[in-house]
Parts: sequence; C-alpha cells; structure tokens
Amino acid sequence: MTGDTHDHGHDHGDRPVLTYADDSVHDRNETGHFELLTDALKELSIEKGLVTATEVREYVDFFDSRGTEKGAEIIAKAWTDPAYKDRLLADGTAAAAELDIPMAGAELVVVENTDSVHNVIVCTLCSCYPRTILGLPPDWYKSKSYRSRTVNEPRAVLTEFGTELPDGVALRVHDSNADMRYLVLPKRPAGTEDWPEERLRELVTRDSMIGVAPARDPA
Amino acid sequence: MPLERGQHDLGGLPGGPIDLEEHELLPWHKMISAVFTVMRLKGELTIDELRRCIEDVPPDIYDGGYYERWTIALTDLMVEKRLITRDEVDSKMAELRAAREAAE
Repeated sequence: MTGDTHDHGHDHGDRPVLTYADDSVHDRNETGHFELLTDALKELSIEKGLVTATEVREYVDFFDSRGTEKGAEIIAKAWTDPAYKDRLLADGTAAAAELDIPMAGAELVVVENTDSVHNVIVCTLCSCYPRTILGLPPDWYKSKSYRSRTVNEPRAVLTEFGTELPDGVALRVHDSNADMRYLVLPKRPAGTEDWPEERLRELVTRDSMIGVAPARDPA
Repeated sequence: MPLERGQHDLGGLPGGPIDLEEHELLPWHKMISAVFTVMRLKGELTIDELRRCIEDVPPDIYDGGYYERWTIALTDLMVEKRLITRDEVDSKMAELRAAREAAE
C-alpha cells in the first residue's frame, strides 16, 4: 500500500467540510486487504516470538467481553458511597484500581456533572478512550465530525444526541490524549434515592459516561 | 512560518452532522487491537510510537477508517523498529491469500 495514488476528488491543501462519509471504509475493505494484513501481522508476530497465540486470544476475548459494565460499577458506587466519590474525583486511576479495573498505562480523570456544570469528552487528535472501563469506542466517537466539532460547537453536538442543556449550565469539554483518559460522572437521576447500587448500575449508559447524554431516566 | 496543521489535528475544524449509527466491530478490528496491546504491554512498542505512525499515514489511508489506519501504522512501526520487513509482510499476505482461496 502506498500513498501515490491520490484521486479521491478533493484537495488536501484546501480541506473540505468533513463528513462522516470520509470515515467510511466499507468499500475499501470489500477486498479484505486490511483483514489479510491484520492476519499477516498477527502470524508474523507469533512466528518471531513477539507475542504468543494465547496472549492475543486472551485480548480478543477481553475486547469481545468488555462493555460498559465496569464504568457503570464505578459510577453507581460513586453515587452511593460519598467517600468513594471523593477518592474517584481526586485520583481516578487509584479509585478504578480499588475495583480491580486497570488503566493500562494511562491516567484516569473523572469529571462530575452537577446542576450547574455539564462535562463532555472528546479526543480531537486521535480517539483516546477509557477502553478498560468502557470497551472499544463507538464509531461516532472516532468520526471526524465529532472530533472536529465538539471543541467549538459542543452545544450543537449535544443537540444531535438529543441532549439540550438548560441555559444556566456551563459546558466543559475535555480533550483526551494518549496518556490521560476522561470519564464523566453523570448526575444521579431524581427518584432513585432508595435504590441499591446494583440497580443504579442499570441507569448508567455509555453515552452518559462520555457526556453526550444524561443517565437513564428511571421513570 | 506557522506550522501546518497535521491531518490528525481536527479540533475546531468545520464538520458535518455526526452519524450516530452503531456498527458491530469486525473480528479483525479486535484482532489488530489485541496484537498491538500485547506488544505494547510486553514493551515491544509504545502507544506514542503508534500514534506518530497513525498521524503520518498517507491522507487517503487516514481518511479510510480508524482500524484501517491503525493497521497500516502498526505495519509501518514494526518495519521501522525492524521487528518485521515489508517483504515478510508481502509474503505472509500472499501465503494467507492462497490458503484462503484454496479453502474456498
């Protein structure tokens, strides 16, 4: 694969308005090129002793099984345990480790939504995401439109997710990087005061922990 | 002279509507993530090295999709670090393709 052929109809010196279609890969991959390349890299890595087949399989299983459950566990505990919440906001990495959730080399910073502040997370430079907590990121999080627009028109972006913030609420945008991942602590929904931690977890959605939506309404 | 904005540096640029449709991850998406993660945890390469290689892929690859640019960048990085050669990658792909065609 080389970069010599370059006939996709626009000039990079004069960037077009980005659309999600720019991210679409389905046509290219119909040939199976990238799948084949992935298999080749895996095979060569095993042959050269850089990795073992078992190690790779363990991580495929990890990515297969890891959804947003660990995130929901963190958030529901913070909602019900004020001391844990304090520790979580002070040092997210250590508070995640308390629940045996590794950060795999990155720092975790948890930001709290309140009646006056709403937080939303993006990674403008790549697609950094707290994978050990939320699994692999959704396509829209990696899209050029989300990455480009969230820092300069975040309210318009939230509107596309159906989230309208009241006027008096400040909106803070957090730009992640390879070494620092953010997680939003959403507001605990009203009417859940008597709920146990296990039940509260069901209200914690992926989108609420990225900050594009509130936690699920119990009603 | 001001620095030219890198192709990866998207913050603040104009953009179209966000496609909110959820797509299932393909098996090779998880595979390339797993191969990279294991090599990173074993100290063969770092996340910042991969990030630099992702930022440096040709524009058509960069625009071609997330795991597509990852795969190209990981190949570039492994070659740069002399963990593998381009010839080995080409041979292995040809071998796998032939095996797949024979199985069909």
